[in-house]
Amino acid sequence: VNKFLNTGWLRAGASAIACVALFSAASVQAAKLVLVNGDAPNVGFNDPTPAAPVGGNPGTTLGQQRQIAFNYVLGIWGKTLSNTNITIEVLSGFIPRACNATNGVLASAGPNTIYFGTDGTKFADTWYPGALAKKLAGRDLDNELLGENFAEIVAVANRNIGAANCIAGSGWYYGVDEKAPEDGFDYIKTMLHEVGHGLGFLSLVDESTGEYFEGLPSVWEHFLKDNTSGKTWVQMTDAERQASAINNENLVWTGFQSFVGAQRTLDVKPQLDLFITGATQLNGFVYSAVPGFGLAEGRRRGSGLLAFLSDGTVADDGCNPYTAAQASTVRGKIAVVARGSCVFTQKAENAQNAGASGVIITNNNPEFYRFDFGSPDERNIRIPVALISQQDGTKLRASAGRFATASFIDQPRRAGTDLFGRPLMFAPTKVRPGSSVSHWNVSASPNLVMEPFANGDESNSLKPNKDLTYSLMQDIGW
Amino acid sequence: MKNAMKKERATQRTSLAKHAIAWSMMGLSAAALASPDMKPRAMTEAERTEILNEAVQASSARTATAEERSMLQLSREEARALLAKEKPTNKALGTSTSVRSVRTATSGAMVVGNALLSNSSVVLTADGKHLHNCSSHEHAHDAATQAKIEATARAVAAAKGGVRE
Repeated sequence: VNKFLNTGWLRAGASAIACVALFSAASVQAAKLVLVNGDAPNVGFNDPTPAAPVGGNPGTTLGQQRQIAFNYVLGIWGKTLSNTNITIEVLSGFIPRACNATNGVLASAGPNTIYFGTDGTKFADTWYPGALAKKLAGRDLDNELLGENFAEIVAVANRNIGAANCIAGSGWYYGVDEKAPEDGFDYIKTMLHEVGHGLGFLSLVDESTGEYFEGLPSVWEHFLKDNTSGKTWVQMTDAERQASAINNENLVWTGFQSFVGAQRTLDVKPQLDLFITGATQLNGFVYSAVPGFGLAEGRRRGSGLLAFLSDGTVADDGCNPYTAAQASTVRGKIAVVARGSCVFTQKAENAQNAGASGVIITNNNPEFYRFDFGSPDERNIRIPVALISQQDGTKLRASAGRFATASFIDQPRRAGTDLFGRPLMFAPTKVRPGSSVSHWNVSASPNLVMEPFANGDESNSLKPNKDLTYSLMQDIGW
Repeated sequence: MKNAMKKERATQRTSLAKHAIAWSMMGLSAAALASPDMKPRAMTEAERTEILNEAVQASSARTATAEERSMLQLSREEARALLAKEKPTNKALGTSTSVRSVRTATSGAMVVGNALLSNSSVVLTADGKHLHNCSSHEHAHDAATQAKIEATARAVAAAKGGVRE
């Protein structure tokens, strides 16, 4: 027994030493991201125009400030990717891009190379972005397979931002202090986001058709799961992926690191979910999105039969006091009304006055449907109210005349996660190419670096408890 | 106050229990939870300063080649068109850097250039504030598309900032 114990202790001791050694080694590791300057003389990174130092950026020419700012971005990423020593080349420059007075392209980035079937990859027959493939293989694959070296990432910024015909009056802000002025675009935040895409924060699937890029999934698709079908994207047909890409509030990221990161990073917020039974096309959980309304104590639970006040297309959308016939229809039941014409609280008040036990509002717009409903106290609303997507609304209305019920379930959870705490992905009901599926959901709070829309208050840190970018990177193999 | 705190704790416990069940169902072990990488942390100010100092000292690894500079000018659509034109089969077929490719039944490598670019587009909202998103549209939008984009921007602003309707 002693022998075993001693051996055990020795093993434990050796393991501990090994662990210490590993941690020590890990603590000094960092990826090295380097700029490959793609600008011509006297433009972009080489612009000699004098400039006053700004926001902690000490450069004294525009070109210097741009190089320092970009290297700062690369430095943040390098320190973040702390379990590898590889060098990643980022081909970058300031290039004119499409732009006019009110809109245009700020910046672009993506992997310059992609690989499949190389050493260290977890998934066979799966595309990996070049930088990640290099990290997993532990060596330079370009020379080995393509015959020469290539930059792993391409990243460009629009050189014309702020010019007369390109959002005049605005401009890039090169400070490192996260204090871009109202009319300035924070170059560092923008490029942190973009380089993230270049390192692998993207799907290669064509979201409009569901087709794989060049016939194979990318590592991204292995982690995408549709809560409605219960399938991951690699288990789906093209048509199923196409449908899943617009399955708002039901597309989640299944990576474990992102799950843990979400628990450490995202705020717990009140959330009201609907559970539908007896409907012809819509049964089970409908992840409604009603931040703050109908959630006060005593107003957030309840269930009942559904009563359809309108068919979703007629003008009567619950904005007028109910007629006697309408009141008779909804009394003691959950009124289903269409969005539009008046504020949400008025719809709720009218339904409540008619004796309804709850209200489901169906969106009249196929795109986003997260709104602040205002305060229920304004009209003394005591019944729960939820808004569901136009798509789900159409399905629900197909149940008119059936014995369909809805339950409002008070379900506080991390903002931007599903019932199990898994981060939701951006899957608006109208596909946005290059944006859908390859970002976190906009419901995340605090705002994340890899959300589709810049909100200005994202952190320049990429790790929990500030951000989830690194967590997802760990999931895919970083 | 006490009750509110109790309630919050209860909520957290319920939430944690639910998550634990969900993840144990997925076959994840306690050992994985104990991994040091489970606890990454945000950057400190000292680290930011160090990164800035390194950024100031850094110089480009190399200047891009003429071919790389040329490739950098391409839009996503142009890069994709090039890729389609010189479509790789099972050997190195690309004649330019941007479409070089090697492919066998079990492994492959491609230089995709700008074909997989994700863009940050900016849209000014009615109040003059800007939002940007990653969209593959590289060309100027027509009026209808522009109107849709602005409507989307307003919806997102609503989602984030909160408006009533």
